[in-house]
Amino acid sequence: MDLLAPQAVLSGIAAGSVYGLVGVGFSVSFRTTGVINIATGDLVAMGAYLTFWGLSVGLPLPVAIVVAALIVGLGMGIVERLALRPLYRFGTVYAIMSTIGLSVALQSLIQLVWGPVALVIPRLVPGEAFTILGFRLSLAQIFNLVLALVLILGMVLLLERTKIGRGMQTVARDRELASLLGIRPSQLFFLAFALAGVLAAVAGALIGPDQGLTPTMGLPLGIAGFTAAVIGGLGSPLGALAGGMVLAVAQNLAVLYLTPDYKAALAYGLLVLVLLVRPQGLFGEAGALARRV
Amino acid sequence: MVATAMQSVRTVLRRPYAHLAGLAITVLVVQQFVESSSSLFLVQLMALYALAALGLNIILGMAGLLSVAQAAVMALGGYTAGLLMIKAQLPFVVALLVAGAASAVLSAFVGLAALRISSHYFILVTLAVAEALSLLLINEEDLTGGYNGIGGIPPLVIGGLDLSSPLALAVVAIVTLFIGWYVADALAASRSGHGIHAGGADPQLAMASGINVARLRFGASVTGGVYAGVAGALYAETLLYLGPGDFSLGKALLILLIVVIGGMGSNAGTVAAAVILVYLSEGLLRLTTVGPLVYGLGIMVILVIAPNGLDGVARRLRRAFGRILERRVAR
Amino acid sequence: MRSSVSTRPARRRPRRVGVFVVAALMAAGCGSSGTGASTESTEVKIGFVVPYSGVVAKYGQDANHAWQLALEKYGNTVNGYKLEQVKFDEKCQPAAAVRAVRQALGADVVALLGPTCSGDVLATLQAAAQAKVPLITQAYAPDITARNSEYIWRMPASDEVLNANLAKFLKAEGFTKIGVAHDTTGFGQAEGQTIVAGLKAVGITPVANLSYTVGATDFSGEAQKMKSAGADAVCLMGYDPDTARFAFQLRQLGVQAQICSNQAISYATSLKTAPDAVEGAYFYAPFLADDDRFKPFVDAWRAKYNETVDTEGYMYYLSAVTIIEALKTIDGEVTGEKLNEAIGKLSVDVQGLTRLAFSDTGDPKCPTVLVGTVSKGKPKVVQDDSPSC
Repeated sequence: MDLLAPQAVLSGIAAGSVYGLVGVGFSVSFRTTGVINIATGDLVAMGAYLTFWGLSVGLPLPVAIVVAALIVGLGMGIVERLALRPLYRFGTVYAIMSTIGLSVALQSLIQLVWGPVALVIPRLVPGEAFTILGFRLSLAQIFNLVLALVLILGMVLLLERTKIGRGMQTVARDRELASLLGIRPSQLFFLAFALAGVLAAVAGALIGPDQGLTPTMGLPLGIAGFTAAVIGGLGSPLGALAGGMVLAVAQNLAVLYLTPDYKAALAYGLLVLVLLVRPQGLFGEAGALARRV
Repeated sequence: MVATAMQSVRTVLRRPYAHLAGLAITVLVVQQFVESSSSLFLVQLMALYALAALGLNIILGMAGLLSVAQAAVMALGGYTAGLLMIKAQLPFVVALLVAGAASAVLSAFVGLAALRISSHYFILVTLAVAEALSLLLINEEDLTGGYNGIGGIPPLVIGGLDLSSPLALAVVAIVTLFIGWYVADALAASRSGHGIHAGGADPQLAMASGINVARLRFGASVTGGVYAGVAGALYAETLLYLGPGDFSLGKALLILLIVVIGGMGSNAGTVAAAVILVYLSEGLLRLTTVGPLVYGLGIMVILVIAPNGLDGVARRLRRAFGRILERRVAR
Repeated sequence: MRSSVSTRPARRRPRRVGVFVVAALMAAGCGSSGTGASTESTEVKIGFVVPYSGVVAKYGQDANHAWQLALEKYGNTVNGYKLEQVKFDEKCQPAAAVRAVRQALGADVVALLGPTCSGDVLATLQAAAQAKVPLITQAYAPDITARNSEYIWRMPASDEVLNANLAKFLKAEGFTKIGVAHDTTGFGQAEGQTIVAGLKAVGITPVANLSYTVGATDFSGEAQKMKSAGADAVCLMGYDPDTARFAFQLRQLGVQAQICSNQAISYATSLKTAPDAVEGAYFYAPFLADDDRFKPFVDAWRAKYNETVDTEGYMYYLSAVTIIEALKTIDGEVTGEKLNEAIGKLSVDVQGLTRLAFSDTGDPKCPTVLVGTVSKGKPKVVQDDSPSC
């Protein structure tokens, strides 16, 4: 029996879970503030490099990852307060430009501190694959998938079951209504970007062992992340996860059955297609943002 | 729209004195004080980025569409002109016209997306178009030379006149820039310019006052595309080489930055910002390893301190100065 | 918020900014014309156009180290001329390289050491030839010496030679179904083309030939393609982080094919990220620090800089020696044209490392051409096919 296509789907799902993780953080901050965070990919890289740093000062790997995620999250929150929030009132363009500056700064900071030569961090769980029912799968892949699911379900609970989360939803839908209801958006903005930082950093620690650490390692992940978020429908965390998987599976199948040369273009093609045909995303509700002029 | 635009453009076109004076002074200064070929090269780059940024200023500053496709549009202009001159041996002027048209078409295609989707998502569409074009340039090796690009572009000759010396190229770039600047100013002053601007600032309000926002946005995209195409064609003559790296996302962001730092909507601010930013990004990055870090942090600091860019700073200075004068007079 | 549109923008603004432009342009002019000093007859200037910043900033450091080492060995004065190094940043970006080369030529250099990146060389070789200044590079793309420039000299064998040799080796080892994957950088594209050409020359048509974007996150689709093509060897032609990840995912999908690659697979990144996957891989190499013949050079470098020299450092050293040895043969005033002629006639031995001599196209006559393997986590030479000189 030919397991080629099913295997491609399986491998895609495993890879897509990490895209989803980046995508969720991206979409939470986008939804709350309308700002597209161009530096998302650099947060991923920062997470990986800080994990490397944690290990080098003697922390055990899981602790190093948590510390890295907290530093990146807190740092992104602080950057939001200092360099993005003063700009919201002028329109989102200015805040987006500011994240471009952040992206340039983070990339060169990494290069200054850790150098341009690729570094290596170890895996949390073994990456060697085994065969089940004819499929090849590794513990690391399963672990990434489960961790992504847990974190994203955590996000869903946070957004839907807590006061803070519901506040975020309200701010996203209608900022004026939110302030009428007595919700102070400023804490929520901080939190949205901090969460995006945490998720991106964890994604960095997960992908780092596979990819090797380079100052530019985050760029493709940043793009994959927000493509995932748009495909899934901005605002729905589970949608972003599904979007990441759709993207990775589509890419794998395209490499197998179409041409590998334009694999990267496929992500953009999907992005534009979804935006034009179904702006609320494959899994999103036809909502406020998409219909705005 | 076109007819009214032409009419109002014509009324402004009667008074090109300020632009002519600016052009004369700039050319004179460059001719007198800038000697080395590498400095002249820098001047060429400044003028060409300013030209592309003026185009983006029409798209972003006036129509409110945040695009990161301007470098890709410029690339299409450059490659079109370069390939026409190499493969079809067409003279530069013809290649330039076709390049401008091709870029207008690509920019129009991007502008069409703005008619359908929210302006929030527009940047993502432009990102996709930019990356798709860059993939095409890299993968279609037989035509574009792939990552290594294409060399052997014939030096600039217009009507039998050899303009390939660094000084002549700089002058050509500066003259083109001032023509573009002049047209952009005329457009901003025209009725459709006001319409475009209103559509960018508040689409709902503009629509309510009977302005066809969609058409104006489309028109702004086309016009902005022509600027980038012309800049791209001249860029090909400046380097005599074209490669995908010269039109990467980084360059698109540089053009975007020029417009924002200049003060969106202000043509003068855009040109000034182009001169400063091109100098900084070529100079700073060349000097030290901390250059990019300073550059990145600088962007954030400048945005927070002076979100309205150079134009805003100039305004604030003028107002502060005026207030001081007033107080003096009053007391 | 946004600037209001004045009714007569054409009147007031340009004058104000005209002055602005003038001031900034003057600053620019003054700022960057500092290097154009006049030539003094007692020194010759060598223009270093190498990446001092950017992702491959390490190259710039290597070039400086190599130059210092060469001066120590050969002295800093040749025929009474003092050698002066003038630095320009190539950044591994063609536009930056064009500007750097113009600057260097404006500063009256007699030779260009670099650019290093293939695209940069292709963008600048015309300018060097026009100014009649030799350009000495270590870029691998075969194109570079195929563009009829008389002023280009390459230190290592091109991709074409190295990959043809690797293909021959693979054929001799009995591999017949070979898959090729390369990235879409200039380096990767040239690598892909030359390995395919090399394989065809020995009668092997690749069972798969695919490209990927540098820095791609996931290669499972590509790896499966190799599996479904039934490849018994997979040649990965790109940079080390990608090569390691691709190799890892091949093994993860249960593909046990022989891995063949360029030298990148023997770099520390690959050996650390995917030690099991790259064990036993074959690769070509124009230099290998572990080979005995290079030991004195490698030791000298380590003694001075406390690091293992890599291929770039070695090639920069050869570039420096080429310039110095050619200068030795020139009588009277040194010009780029005379130096270029001298390089063409060169035939000297470099401390037992190699013999410097060049063909009409500018390629080395006696390059080092090795096939290496990764054995117990360390690169090792398995076959030496350097032409005897």
